[in-house]
Amino acid sequence: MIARKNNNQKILLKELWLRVYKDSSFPGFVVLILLIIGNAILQKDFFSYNIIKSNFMIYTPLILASIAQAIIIISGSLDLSLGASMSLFTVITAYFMTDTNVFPIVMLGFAVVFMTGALNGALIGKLGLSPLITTYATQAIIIGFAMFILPNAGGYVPKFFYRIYRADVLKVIPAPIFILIIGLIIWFVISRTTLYRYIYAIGSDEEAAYASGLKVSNIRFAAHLIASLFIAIAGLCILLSTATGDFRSGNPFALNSVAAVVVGGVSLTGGKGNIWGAVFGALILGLLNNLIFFAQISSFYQTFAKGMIIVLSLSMAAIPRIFEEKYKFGY
Amino acid sequence: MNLFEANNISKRFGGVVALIDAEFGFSGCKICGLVGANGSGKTTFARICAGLINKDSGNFYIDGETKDINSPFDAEKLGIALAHQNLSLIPDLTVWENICLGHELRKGKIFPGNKNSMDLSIEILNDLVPGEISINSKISTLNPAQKQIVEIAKALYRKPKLLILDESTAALEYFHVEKLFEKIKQLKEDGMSIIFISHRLWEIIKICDLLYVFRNGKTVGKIDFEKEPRDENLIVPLITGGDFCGINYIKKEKKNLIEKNVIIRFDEVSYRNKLNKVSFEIKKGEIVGIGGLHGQGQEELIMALSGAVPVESGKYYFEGKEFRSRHTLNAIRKGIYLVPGDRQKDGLFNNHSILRNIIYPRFTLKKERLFLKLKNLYKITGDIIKKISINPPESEMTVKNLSGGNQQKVVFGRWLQFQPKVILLNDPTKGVDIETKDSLYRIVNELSLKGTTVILYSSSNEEIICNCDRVFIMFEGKIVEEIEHEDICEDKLIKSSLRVGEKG
Repeated sequence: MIARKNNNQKILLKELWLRVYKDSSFPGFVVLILLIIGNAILQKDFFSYNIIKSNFMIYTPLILASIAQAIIIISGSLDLSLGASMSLFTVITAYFMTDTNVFPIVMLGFAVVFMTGALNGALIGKLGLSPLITTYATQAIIIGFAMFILPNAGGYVPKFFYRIYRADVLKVIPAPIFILIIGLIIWFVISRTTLYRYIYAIGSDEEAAYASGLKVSNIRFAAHLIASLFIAIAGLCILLSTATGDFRSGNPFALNSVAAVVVGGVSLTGGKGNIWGAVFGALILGLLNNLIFFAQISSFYQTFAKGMIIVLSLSMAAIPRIFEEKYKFGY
Repeated sequence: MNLFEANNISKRFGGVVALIDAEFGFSGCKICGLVGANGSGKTTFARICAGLINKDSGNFYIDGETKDINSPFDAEKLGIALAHQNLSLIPDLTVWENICLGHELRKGKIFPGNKNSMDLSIEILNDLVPGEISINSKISTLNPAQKQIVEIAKALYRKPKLLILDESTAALEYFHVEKLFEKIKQLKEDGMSIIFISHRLWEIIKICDLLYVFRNGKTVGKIDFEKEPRDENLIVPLITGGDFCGINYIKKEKKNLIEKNVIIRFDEVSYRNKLNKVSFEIKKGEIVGIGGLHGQGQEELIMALSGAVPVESGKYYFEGKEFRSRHTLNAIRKGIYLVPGDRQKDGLFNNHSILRNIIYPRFTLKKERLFLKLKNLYKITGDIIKKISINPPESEMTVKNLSGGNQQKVVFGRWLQFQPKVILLNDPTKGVDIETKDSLYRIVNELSLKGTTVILYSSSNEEIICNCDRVFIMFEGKIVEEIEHEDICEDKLIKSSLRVGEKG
């Protein structure tokens, strides 16, 4: 009797293992574990509360931006203007903010980011323009607009507001992690909707989705809007951590989020991958910088080493695919 | 659906006429068959009914009103569901997610009642194939037959009034078909109308109440089985046109093969589930046709011959030696040349000139040194252009701007500069005018007299009859029949392809 129970458990464990192993984010997960081990060796107090807190203060915006990018890429689109939208958020809020109107101004920032998302969604989803070039152009438009409002970094963020980011919730959860958890909860709710499934469907095979009676253009539009929510939260994090409005602050996020998402196993062709991949990928990129810093690699080689490790983690994701698809020909 | 009528439906794709004044109609709950040869417009008709393609002219008259079907949403409102031939499934979603895609049963407004949709999907799927397909597996892991069943289940999930099955049985096993038929009959009793498109006549005869026959985009016949006997021999002449066995194309004379050397031998070759232990021998200088219904493994056979796909089991002998290939390069270097079926995708560099298109294979065959002798290349291109009369005869013309026939000439002509041992023609006359067709086959025949082996797959029986020394009929990945020169005729080809007289 007991033996059989053990056997059943074994089978269950095996199935679970297969599911984990076959998940697209698995190679990213492995790389992440390796990086955590590496970091733990090089940085003695890596797991201490303060270090975790300060690390997440840096990683949270990228994780949120990567979640946004993942949703967009899964829908079969791409967003290079995501960093610009984040900058615009900081610029708009820092420009208008005073000690008394913090909440309405933050809402204004959210609204503006939603508008940029709607612009991208309308151009890509409704008009069917190429996402790569379209968002490259909208990025320039958004940055231009932000420059027009605040040509130099500045603006005003009240101290009580930006200190929130350094505070702890319930005295144990650092604020950045709390924001991240809220983001993940929002995503969890969204992932239970039919819309979320439709996003996978249109990314995976647009024609089949149309034949199944899905309104492809509306769904892609919606994907950009949903992503805007995460972009805005990421922008908020940047604002809180820098306490200034700067049209350059979001710049690195556009390509870094794409890199993170791809390292996390999300396919650029759409329809494949999941949010966990985006989270892992963003953490990988963040920890990578940390590792390189603490490995005391000469700054000459830092960029080189970073590039090499990204290529390596990408190749890790490709290895199982090589074994699966033996033949390159279309049969 | 009480009344469904489609009148004067026409549709063109560019210059190609797919449907011209097609008629279709029935009243009451019927199982209405639709047959026709390849390219007769069946699938186009089905896709128009489902709103995936917009018709050029004509109208639908449904339940007493003229209706327009301009998008899948219109079709849905009218209760028309199509089980697609080339599948509308999302590869990255699971079986049940696909079945209920777009029609999830909802608990609230936004959140799907996953359990309810899932239960209903399981119920429908189990009705078709009890316990064979795991509801949680991804579509990309299923085999074609399973996918087709999911596709049917997906159409049924939508609770249509009119269900269109577009060659849904083509990929299915015999007992699955039986099961499906039981289900269809039951659905008919429950008030659903069904349009059943199939190539297999025995299925039509078994299940249909009414039959329409399309030929070249026109409705050429309507058979009401309540009044007329269920006889295959009534249907075949309608499909082929003309009297039964009355057509005689000018066959070329039987050739005395000078050399009896076997050049290609297949020994029980299998590939995926597309080729199933195929064995044959082909002699030098022979022209061998590959016939049969569309998608029975002919393309895969050509691909295997061209070395583009490796044989998975069995052996491929070329000139007496075993030939293993992972790349077309190996085959090209041995003198096996392919004229692919999709010239836009696999055959041409669309934005390059005729000259470039023609000289590229020279690099593969290492005929050129580091620096090109342009004068020589222009001469070679000029010769080819003259030989196969490409129009306009300008080497610098961009291939994209040529007509379809002339493009095909370029694809074909590029191999003429070498001495081909084997030429593989994959439907070489698709969308090609008669004149080009004639000149193409004249050259093919000349080549074969010089000792080149030609393997021809064509969707047109006429070309096979006129040119081939021998014909293999393929069915479900096997060569089921071999027709020798003297027996090749339309009647024989169609009967063998449709497997008349054999069930399942």
